[in-house]
Amino acid sequence: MDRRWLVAWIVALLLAAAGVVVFERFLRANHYFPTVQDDKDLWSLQVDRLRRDGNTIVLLGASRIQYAVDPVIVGRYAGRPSVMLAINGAYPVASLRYLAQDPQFHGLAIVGIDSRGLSKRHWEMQQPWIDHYEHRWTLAREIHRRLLTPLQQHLVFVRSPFAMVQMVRRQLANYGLPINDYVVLRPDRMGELDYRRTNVDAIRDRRVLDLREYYRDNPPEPATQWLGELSEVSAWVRAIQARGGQVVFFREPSAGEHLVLDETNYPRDAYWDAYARVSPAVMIDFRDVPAFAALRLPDTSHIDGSDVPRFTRILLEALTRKGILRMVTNMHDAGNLDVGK
Amino acid sequence: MTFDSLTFLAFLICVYIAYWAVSGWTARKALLLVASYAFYGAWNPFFVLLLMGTTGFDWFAGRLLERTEEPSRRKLLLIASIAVNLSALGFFKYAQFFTNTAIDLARIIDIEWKPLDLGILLPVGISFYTFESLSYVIDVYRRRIAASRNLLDYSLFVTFFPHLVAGPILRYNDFTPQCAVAKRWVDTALGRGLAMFVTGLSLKLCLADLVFGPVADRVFAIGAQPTVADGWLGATTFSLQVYCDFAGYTLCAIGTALLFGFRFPSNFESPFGAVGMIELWNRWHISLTSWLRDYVFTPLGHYRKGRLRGHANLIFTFFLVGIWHGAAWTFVLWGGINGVLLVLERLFRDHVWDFTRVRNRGGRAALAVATFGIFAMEAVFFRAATIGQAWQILSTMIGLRHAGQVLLTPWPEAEVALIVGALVLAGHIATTHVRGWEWLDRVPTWVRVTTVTAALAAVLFSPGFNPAFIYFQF
Repeated sequence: MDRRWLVAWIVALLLAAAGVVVFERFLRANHYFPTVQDDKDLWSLQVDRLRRDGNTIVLLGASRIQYAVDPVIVGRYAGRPSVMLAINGAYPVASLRYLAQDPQFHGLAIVGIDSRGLSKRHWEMQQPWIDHYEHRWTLAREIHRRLLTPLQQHLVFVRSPFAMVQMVRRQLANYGLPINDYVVLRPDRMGELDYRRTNVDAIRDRRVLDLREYYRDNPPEPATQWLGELSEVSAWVRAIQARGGQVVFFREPSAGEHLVLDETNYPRDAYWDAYARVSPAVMIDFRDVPAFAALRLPDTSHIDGSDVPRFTRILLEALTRKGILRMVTNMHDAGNLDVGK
Repeated sequence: MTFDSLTFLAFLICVYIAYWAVSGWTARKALLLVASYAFYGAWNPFFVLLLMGTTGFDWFAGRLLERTEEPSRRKLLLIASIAVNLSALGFFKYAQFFTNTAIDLARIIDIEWKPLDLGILLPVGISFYTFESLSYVIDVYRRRIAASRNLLDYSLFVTFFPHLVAGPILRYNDFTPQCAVAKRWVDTALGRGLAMFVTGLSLKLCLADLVFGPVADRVFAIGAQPTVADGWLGATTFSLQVYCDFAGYTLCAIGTALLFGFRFPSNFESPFGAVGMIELWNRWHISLTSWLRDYVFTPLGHYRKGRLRGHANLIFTFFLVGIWHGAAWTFVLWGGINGVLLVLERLFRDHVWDFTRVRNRGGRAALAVATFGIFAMEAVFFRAATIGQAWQILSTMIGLRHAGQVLLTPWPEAEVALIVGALVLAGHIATTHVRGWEWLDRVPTWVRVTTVTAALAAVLFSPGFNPAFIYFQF
């Protein structure tokens, strides 16, 4: 190499390395921590795992499944592979349809959902992730994602909120540093919430306010219409069952004003229970499993990460009682496994 | 596999080490060819067969053309080769477009056809390598070059991974002579190549994806009702985004090729410093515009057959530029508008004022900014999802529509984009005299340190979701 280029590169690399060290230390000093960042590629890696074994237990849903059910505990308990396909902020009906259309799938789909999520207007929320897997997921992306994950597990600055441009923009707008995240996501996409890292009161108030505004702007459809549209979902459930698979709709816990708003808009007897009477799927409402009542929901709809093993065990026991699952590993052992945090 | 992925970084390191470790020039070229097929196959392994098939066919067609003396048989061979190449391109890129257009036309005469999804996947880079193959066969036909006797060299010309999926569009004579001489590691421009690669990545990751992209996305979002200022901001930031994206890719490609001892021609030369659209198109995507000049505009007669015919030739050539970029009416219109603007500029310069003769620096800078404004206005058609949306934004920009809701103007995204955009524009205006990249080896060490450090920092501190390079879709 030309001597002047060599000097330029050595100096530049040293300066860049120093910049990385300083920035990383600055972020950690401000209580940021390394965590895997979820994206469509990470989700696709889990779909690949599902494709390898059609008898897999698939965890579908939104954040209330992704941040509450540990697929490692589930897998060890049932003696079958278990994958996390729940997506924060997106109801899972499209993914259920995707499983129904997969002729190889004959496993168990645990679908975390509520009456609002079953409404047809929310069916397509996870479709972009499926499209990504079907049309854009390649070997090259897989290698990229596999290399990126360990970087994100060990370094804070490699996450998008800390991009230089974003930080400059925040400073210009006097927003200060990015909001401290409180989700620690594992490479298998299971996340644990640590409410000690955040202002739980602010999060709870925001969540309730958002839900109030949502229901104001999107009043529920009549129960008869809602129920009629679910015949399509029932057909997908039957398609899975015809191959020997099973589907469970699980209404995850919520509390406080969140639960009141849900009940006011989608009364259980007119919606959830009405579908339970005709649905070919097994349906579990958290209120029918007393052990869920003992769990704390700091923001009215999610549990703290420390409660994940307990939550998972309660769900597994409920599924076992319903005859959906058979325990192959002692529950105590399953819940205390090293889950690779 | 994209240049901005960790997969490519690992791939490049492996191929680089293996390339320089292997002894024997033929073995090295074979290794590069295998690596290039692996690079391409990482998207879709089946399309490697298509690439191999068209490469082999054109090489064989070239050999036959050279051996054949009878003009009618030569013409037949040329037509066969062009037909095969354009059929593949037409099927993969335009079949869905023509189907949709037929359905829309049928609707006009009250025949209702259901939308038909042909489910055709577009092989990445097909527009680029098809044009390279076509130029080779046409040049052999014209006896401007001798047909390749070496299938390995020819395959490497079409397939060499740095330029395979998004150019620059190479000519056989630019590349293949470089295959004749064995490369030595000590002769390669390693430092410059790496600097160009990292600078290209910084243009893509930092400027295109984080500074300009988000602003343009907000203005061009379906259902957005931008104000006049938002419209201008969206159009200009999109122009800068597409420049940083594509010029960034090209820089990466040129830099990567240098690591292996190969030199690619320049593809962008300060286009936003151009005075007038004619000059801008001489500086923008140079390998495509020069290809169209040599294989479409000149064979059509250039301006040799009269002014009117020349104008028509120019408009037709830019209609092809449009349709080359994408199978959609927005691209067709964008290409057509460019053609018309070039004709109007010629007429204006011939009959009213030849503004290219302005020598005053301030005056030229003002003209460059005006040229950029015109480019941005027509870029609305390039970016918009539909002609309707393009017209909505364009008519707002020129004051024909009442302003909508304020989307961006008070936002920090807009402030950063404006500042950086002004710097990019100023940089282009100040460097219009600079051609090629050899000058990089003459700059002082402190400039190299500053540039490489800034580029490295921009890459390292721009983690994001890595949207695909815009030109991959073409």
